[in-house]
Amino acid sequence: MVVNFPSKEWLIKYQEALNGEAGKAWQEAAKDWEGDFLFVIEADDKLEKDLTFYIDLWHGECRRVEFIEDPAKAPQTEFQYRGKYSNWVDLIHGKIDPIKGILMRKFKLVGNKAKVLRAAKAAQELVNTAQKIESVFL
Amino acid sequence: MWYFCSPRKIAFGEEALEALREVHAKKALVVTDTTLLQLGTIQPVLDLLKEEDIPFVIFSAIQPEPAIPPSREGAKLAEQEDVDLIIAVGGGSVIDGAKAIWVFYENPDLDIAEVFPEDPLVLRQKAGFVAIPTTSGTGSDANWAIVIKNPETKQKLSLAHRELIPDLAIVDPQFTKALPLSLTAATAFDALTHAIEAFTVEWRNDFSDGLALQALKLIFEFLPQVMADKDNMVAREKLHNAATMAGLAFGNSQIGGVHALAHSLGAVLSLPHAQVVAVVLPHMMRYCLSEPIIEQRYAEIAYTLQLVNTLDAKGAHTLIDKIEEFRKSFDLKTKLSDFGVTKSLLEEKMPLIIEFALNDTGSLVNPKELNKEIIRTLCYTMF
Ligand SMILES: NC(=O)c1ccc[n+]([C@@H]2O[C@H](COP(=O)([O-])OP(=O)(O)OC[C@H]3O[C@@H](n4cnc5c(N)ncnc54)[C@H](O)[C@@H]3O)[C@@H](O)[C@H]2O)c1
Ligand SMILES: [Fe+2]
Repeated sequence: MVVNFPSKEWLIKYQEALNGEAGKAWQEAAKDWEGDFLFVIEADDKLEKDLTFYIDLWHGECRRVEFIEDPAKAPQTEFQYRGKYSNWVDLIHGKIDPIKGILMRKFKLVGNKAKVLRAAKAAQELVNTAQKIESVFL
Repeated sequence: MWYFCSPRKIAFGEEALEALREVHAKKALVVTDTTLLQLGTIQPVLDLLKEEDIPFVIFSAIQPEPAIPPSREGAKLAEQEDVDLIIAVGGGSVIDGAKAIWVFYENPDLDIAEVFPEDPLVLRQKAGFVAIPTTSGTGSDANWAIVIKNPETKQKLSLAHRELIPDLAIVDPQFTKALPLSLTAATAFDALTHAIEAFTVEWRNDFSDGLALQALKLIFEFLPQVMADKDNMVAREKLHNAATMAGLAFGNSQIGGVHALAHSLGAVLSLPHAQVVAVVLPHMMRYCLSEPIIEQRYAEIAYTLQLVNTLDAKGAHTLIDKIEEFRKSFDLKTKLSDFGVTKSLLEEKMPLIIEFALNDTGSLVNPKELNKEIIRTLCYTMF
């Protein structure tokens, strides 16, 4: 099934993908990972207002996701990865990798960066798994 | 959008050391290792500092493949002596160890693993930094990287920050005069790998491409000349320039899978960087060859080096064959077992080797994706 990015349906598909066959490589790479994320998709000329994905990742499992429309209602998380909608599209299409995105100032990572760098493969597999979802972009 | 960053000044060629006279300082910390101290390699630097009436202290406790603790000690000495200039005279180990001293001197409470390119890093409030390479290899004198071992996790950390680029690099061939041929060949292979990876990884760009290709031309032309006559200082000069150019190339692009795996093997099995890079290089190149764009890029290198007359896929294979031929003719190690690594040790350490290799940034930007099975297969092929 094709889903719109970004949407609640997309996020649910993403959780299913991470925990299923499509996420095998991520599960392996993230087997020691502990830490939850907010993925903030910032508004630009295509996306009207900021949207936030809450994603709880724990030892190779995506335990919980939440689609947050009001940024004020976003919970405190260990990490935040944020960037404009068009940059998320480039990331999901593999045009930039999650670290290059930060160096190009297209994304901001808030939280203990050393911990994320030590788990670079898991970060890459998070993106690879997102690529496997049949998505429609704005 | 991308950046090109380099030292404010690179002095190169015969008598480049003279550029040190332009640097003003109240007191300098000269960082080196015991071998270079004993060989007297650093003496011209000390003589010049005396002539310029710049007092100095020497810190020589940096070891090959450096770890964090000696750099913390060096920072304490810098603090005690209140130095305002750090001069690293040595191979990549000394330069990286000295960069870490600089970080700790200016940020005593920082966990160095947290150095991250886009975060603020305070440097140059207390001291400036000059790098004088004595190997023609790492290019650390001209780039933003530190490779340093964390003794607790045993991992080799690759850290990067634009502030870490030395203010002045002095690329003077006199410092490589006594570099034994075995080390000359191994460190040149490291430089060659920097150029090849800079030219092929996902972060390659127009600026790094130019530097990488010229560095490769110089290495292919002048390394054999130095190996045939270790006193050929003209050839040594060219090789020295090539290493710094390759350092600028990968510092502004990235290293790739060869380095990811070499860092991991080096850390887990305690192997010297340049030699293990030479073992991994052709294997990783063959693995990446099935990506059409990489085959093209290798072919472009082969054509530029005039290894072939036409720009086609055959060149890619010729390049790898030529690298293997070089490696053999210069007596470099070609297998992990050449280092005394046993199969059982390799098997025992494999999970850690895989974990470190896959989480190195080099893996993330490698032109062909790496995974657990591939790393394992490569390790056994290299055994
Ligand atoms: N920061 C970077 O950009 C970067 C890039 C690649 C490698 N590295 C790191 O650099 C380190 C390796 O550096 P290297 O390959 O230059 O070797 P090195 O600095 O470890 O030196 C190897 C040996 O050669 C000796 N030596 C150095 N210069 C000499 C000379 N002129 N005459 C005689 N002996 C000499 C040293 O005393 C040492 O015993 C590794 O830790 C590696 O991970 C860093
Ligand atoms: Fe290297």
